[in-house]
Amino acid sequence: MIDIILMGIFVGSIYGMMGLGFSLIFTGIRNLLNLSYGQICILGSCLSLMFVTWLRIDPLLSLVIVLPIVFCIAYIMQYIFLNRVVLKEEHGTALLTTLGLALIIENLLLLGMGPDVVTLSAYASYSLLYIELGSINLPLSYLITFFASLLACIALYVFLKYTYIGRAIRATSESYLHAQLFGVNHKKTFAITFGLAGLMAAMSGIFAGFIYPFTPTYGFYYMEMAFFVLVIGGMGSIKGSFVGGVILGVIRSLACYYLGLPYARFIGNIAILIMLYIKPQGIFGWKV
Amino acid sequence: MNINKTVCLIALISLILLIAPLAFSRDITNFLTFFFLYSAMSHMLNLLIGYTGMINLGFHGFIGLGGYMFAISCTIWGLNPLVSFLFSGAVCSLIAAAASFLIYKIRGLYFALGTIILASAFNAWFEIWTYTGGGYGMPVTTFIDPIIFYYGGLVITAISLFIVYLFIRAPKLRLKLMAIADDDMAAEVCGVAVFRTKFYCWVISSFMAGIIGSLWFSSFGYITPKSAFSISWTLIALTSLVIGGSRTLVGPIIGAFIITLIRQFFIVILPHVAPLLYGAILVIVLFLLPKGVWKYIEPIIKRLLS
Repeated sequence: MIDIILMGIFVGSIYGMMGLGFSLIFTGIRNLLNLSYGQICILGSCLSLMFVTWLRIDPLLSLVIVLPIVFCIAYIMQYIFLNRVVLKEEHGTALLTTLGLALIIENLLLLGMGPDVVTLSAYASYSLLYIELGSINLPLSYLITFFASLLACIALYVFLKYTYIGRAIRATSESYLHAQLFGVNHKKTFAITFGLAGLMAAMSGIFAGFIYPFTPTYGFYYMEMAFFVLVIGGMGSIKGSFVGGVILGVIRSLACYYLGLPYARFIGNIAILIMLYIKPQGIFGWKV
Repeated sequence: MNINKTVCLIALISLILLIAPLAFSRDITNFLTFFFLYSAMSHMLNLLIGYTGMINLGFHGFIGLGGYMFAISCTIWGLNPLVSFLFSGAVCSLIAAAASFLIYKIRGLYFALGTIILASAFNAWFEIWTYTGGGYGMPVTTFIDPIIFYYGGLVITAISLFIVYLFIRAPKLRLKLMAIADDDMAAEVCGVAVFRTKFYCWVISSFMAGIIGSLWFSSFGYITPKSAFSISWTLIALTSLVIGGSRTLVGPIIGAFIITLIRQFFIVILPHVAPLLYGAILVIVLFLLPKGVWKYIEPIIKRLLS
């Protein structure tokens, strides 16, 4: 029982990171609901798999190569395609554009690597190592995942709080017109926000690929997770996202253990609908 | 003269469509069947997204639910196929009515994600429900003759076109819908019954989605949760709506025609290229022609007719 909950917490940290990027886009880029977010997660894990098989390196090391690439792709997506629609105040058009981008990414990945179910953990030499804590056996990869995602969330918090670009991002999320008056280039800031969210997405995709198998068509499934975290944790609160992710992880691992995976998905979806019915603004409220 | 010519054109097109399966080859009949079903889906999304401004991305949920309800009523219970079409539509509209809290609890973009979640809740339910075979799916009663599907698709398209036509032809209702699509809060302040109007659109579109879904899956002959609740249903309908132009009567038809052409061309050679092209066309159309293709074709046709 305790080890199931611990596993849930460790896996939940990935969901927390996923939801964090999603809510960063939502609060940072003028309430843009990004439907291509899940595909960016998958893009991260597929690129990582590509480099791992090509260069024969450790999946953790592939982060160094994959993250800059994903950052650039996300930056370009926002700067070229999305800035125009986002600044026109047409939420529907922006939503449909992200949907089109999601389709493009997903099917390019399908063309590139086929519909096979693959996993990254087969390429990590330590994926079979366990750590014994009393009577509990914990896989080492879960522990690495947990601490890495915790570190990433803290790093994002520090970045947003104390650097110039972080302040610019927070300013544009409040009002891009006022930020512009103070000399912030809002278009570049939007693009950097999307890039940062893409980093979180790619990292969570890689860590999820460490634990679970994946295929290019899992994108909308990942986005469901991110949305669940958003609903529990509330918008734009880093702490809320992380806690929301952990709650999701624990619920899912308990449901998986006692009922089976399809039940876990069903219970998760029903929980989101109930949450939307009772408290649409999330447990942690709407604070930045 | 102008009106007469338009009426003549419409009558000619409907006559051709009525006798098409007898006159043309099997391939063209097949193509037209796909085209009818896509355009019916697109009309229903036009009613929701175009005219009412409710971004419903969970349309595939009701398509799949309709397919499953047809499978249950016609294959397992052995009801008459016509009755089971209506039954699946009725179940879909009932469940849509039960889920209508989505309409008034959450607004705008949250509604879009809420509907996706609703659809994937259906998906998860049918994966665990052993009565319909769980994740393996089940066979569905199918009619051997493709002409039945052709006329079924024709009737469904005609009905959905007629529904949208009724909605925008009624003078008060049209104004109400446009006010809601522009700003539902302001519309509510001005005395429009926002929830009731949205509720009608939502339930009617779900009813039609159920019937369309049951027709699809009775033509496929087999249903699995993965195929029934695939998000590509919504994507296809949405892409054809955007390409043709939302908030127009003819736009969805033209969009569905283009989409069906792409689909039929690529589905055999390179199955992943068709959705890739949908995405690319969606982005390009939103970029260059945000109002859709029909806005540019309409003046040409008008000039030809006058």
